[in-house]
Amino acid sequence: MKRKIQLMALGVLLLVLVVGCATLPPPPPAPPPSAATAAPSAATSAPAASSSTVKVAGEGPVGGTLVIGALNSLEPRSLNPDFRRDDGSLRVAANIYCYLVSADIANKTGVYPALADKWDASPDASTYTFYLNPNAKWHDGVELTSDDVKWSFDETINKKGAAYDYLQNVKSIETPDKHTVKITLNGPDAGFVTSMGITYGPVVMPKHLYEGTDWAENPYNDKPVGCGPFKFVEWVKGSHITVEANPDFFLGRPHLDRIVTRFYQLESLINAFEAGEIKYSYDLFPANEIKRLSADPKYKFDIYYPSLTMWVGYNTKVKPWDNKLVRKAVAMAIDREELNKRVYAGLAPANFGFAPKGWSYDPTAEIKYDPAAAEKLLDEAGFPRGADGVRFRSSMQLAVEMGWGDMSQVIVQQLKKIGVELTLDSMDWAAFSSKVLQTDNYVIQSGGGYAGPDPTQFYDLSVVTGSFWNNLAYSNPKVDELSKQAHSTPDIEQRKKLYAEIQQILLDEVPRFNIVEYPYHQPVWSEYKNLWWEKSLVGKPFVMNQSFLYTYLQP
Amino acid sequence: MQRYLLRRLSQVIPTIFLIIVLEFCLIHLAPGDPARVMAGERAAPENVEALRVRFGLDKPIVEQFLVYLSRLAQGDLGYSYNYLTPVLTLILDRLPQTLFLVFVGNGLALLVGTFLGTVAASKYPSKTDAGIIFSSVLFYSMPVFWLGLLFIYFFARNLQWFPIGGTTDIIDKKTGLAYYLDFLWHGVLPVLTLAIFTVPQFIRLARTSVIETLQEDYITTARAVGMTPYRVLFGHALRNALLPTVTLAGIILGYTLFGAALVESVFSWPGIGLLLLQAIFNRDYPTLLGVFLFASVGVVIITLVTDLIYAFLDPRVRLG
Repeated sequence: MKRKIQLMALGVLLLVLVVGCATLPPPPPAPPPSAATAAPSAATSAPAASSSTVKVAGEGPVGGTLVIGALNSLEPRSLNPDFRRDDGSLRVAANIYCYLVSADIANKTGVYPALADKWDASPDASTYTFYLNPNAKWHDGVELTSDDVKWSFDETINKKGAAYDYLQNVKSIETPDKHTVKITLNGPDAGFVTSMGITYGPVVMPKHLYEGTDWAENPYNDKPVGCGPFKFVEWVKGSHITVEANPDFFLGRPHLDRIVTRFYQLESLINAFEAGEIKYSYDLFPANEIKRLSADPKYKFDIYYPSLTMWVGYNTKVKPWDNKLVRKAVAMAIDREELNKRVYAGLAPANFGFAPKGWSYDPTAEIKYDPAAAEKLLDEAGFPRGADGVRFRSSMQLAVEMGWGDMSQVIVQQLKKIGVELTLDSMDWAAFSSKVLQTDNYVIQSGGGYAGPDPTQFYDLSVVTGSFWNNLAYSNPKVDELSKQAHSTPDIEQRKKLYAEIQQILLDEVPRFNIVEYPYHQPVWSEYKNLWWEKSLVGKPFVMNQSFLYTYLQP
Repeated sequence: MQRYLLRRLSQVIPTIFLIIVLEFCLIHLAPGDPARVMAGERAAPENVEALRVRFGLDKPIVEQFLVYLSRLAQGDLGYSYNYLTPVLTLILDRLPQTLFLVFVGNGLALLVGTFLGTVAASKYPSKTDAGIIFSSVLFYSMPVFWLGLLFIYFFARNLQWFPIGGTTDIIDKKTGLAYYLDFLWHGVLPVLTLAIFTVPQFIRLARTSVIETLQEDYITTARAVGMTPYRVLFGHALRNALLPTVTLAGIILGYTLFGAALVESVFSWPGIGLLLLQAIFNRDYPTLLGVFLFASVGVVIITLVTDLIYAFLDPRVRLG
């Protein structure tokens, strides 16, 4: 008996050690030498001029690697961004693929060339002609032509791919020659060029690799062949994605040799950033961490405000929110400055209006903080305080993201002061999107999402009857009509007037209201220069959201 | 023995079937529409609908279950909604990392925990014993991800002795022996975290059973004939007290297949656990079911092996 026990104990130990060691995964094969990484040591110190054989896109040193951190919940699902997409895949794709044009979403100054050198619009804003850069090539060496553009956009439209939203107004696409694409729309659309240059817009896919295949299962979804400044190297799922400089990029090669994206959960991401394991983060840090880290000159936190606001939306079918006075009173009772201080460490400026800030924003259509007036409105609307001081009880459905988890707690306290008691129903994104966005099974919803930079991206998608973000049951024919008019008017002053008119209607009806402008920032080490949001790059071609064409490492 | 083996094996199949049914129901009870998550933000409703049809999510749930079962019978775990890859490939890619973590971590915990528990028992009652028990309670009550974060904070971020995440250096890739050393170096913190999480259980178990054994008459005899205290403790007392530890090791191996998920998440260790967490966020049903199935079959097998070892050791079990 004792011997058996002894043997068994020994056996268990051996088993543990043997299995433990035997499960070590085998080493991957050595990567093939590549043009961009062949001589990294020489390239790192050499200035751009010395590598005279290859043209470089901008000014500054060439060489070096940028390791980027991202949340592992945002690992891309597919690198075919026209078919399916998420915030995690678009930012990786932005360096591999080409958009027709690039919209400056950080500084909101306009639209600049990308794959198309130039473009022109018909006077009625319903036909657009794009002239492609004749030097553009796919990473496998095949020439990129207008056929690729036509095929990608047609396929996206036919298959209702992820970028379909931005192409649904397209009537036909013609290719008069190899480098010209003529897009005819069903009706005028003044925001069309901008929507071809935002991250959510369609990218150009390689027709020669996709045509005749099922694009959902094409193997190139996992090893993309694009035409952008960086070439795909490898994607080890759950671990990292590597891309390397494309020496043949039509605007000149990028400065960096390699970009590696690694995946972490949030706390580890921040630690990895501080330890220098990553030098850039795709995902945002909590505001208190930004405050702490930005004191150190080693790191850079430039905050910018894209067209993204945090907002509250009412289900206008549900009592008491079908009463516009109640909706307005609640908007008045929310102290946005307090939310900014407590949730976003003072980095998120209040937005008292309805649309994101920008040229079309009407500063007279705002609901200022005034709890006393809010109480008066509620009395007027027929909701006096009860014996317990409560006017009525309701609930709010929220996705605990981007600060909504903390923000909702403060909002509950603020509304309690005017006698409105709110219970919170928090959920993850998957539950939120099916319960709130899909079935409209909610009372008040938390909101936050990119809507810009052109105002059509906001009005057409958020307040027009039946539009994607308008699951508020809000419908006003006047708003629909004005939005359509503004959408089809090329003249900016005229559009400004039309949008101001809509904002005045929203001020009266309040189906939704803004709280703060979301503070965007990309944590980065100061040794990296010329990042895509920096003012010095405004006006250059191919400055996309998250693109690193001009970024260099200052040794 | 053979009859016992057959009896135990015949219980395994219905157990696994029941597990599959329960898992399938539980997963589909959670709110959230996988087609919608799959399609991504702002997807056209037509696109969402197309995905729903593509993956058979438009069919009644009973039909979905039957389809799943019939595929499963052919060894097909399905197709991940999220990665658009066969689930089996996903799991097999990540299994080695998890097995390494779980076996090495728990092996270490078993060795250290049993040793410390025996030492504590031999000094019982004393300050040494109290100290060991106190620290074991302390570590046991620490959330494992928090412990992992503390390790990262001190040893990876401040001292920079170890990397924060991953299994190998992906910037400067190693081959051959250097690769394995690099892997082990990356594994130090996650393995230690998991080991510290399970070690208290081994300490407490070893301590209790050794204290009990030390009261036995044969120990008194052994001491009386003049054996060294060391020999009495490790040669006689511990040897008899090991039996429950084997059981515990089996149970712990089983449930740390899941417990390792948090460790994997903190250390960006691309294993099964991390796959599981992401599958939950994305409502990736086939992957979820596949991981659950793997883990529960693992637990069932480990339990079976433990039972068989028991039966082999103790005739009362197989005759009873």
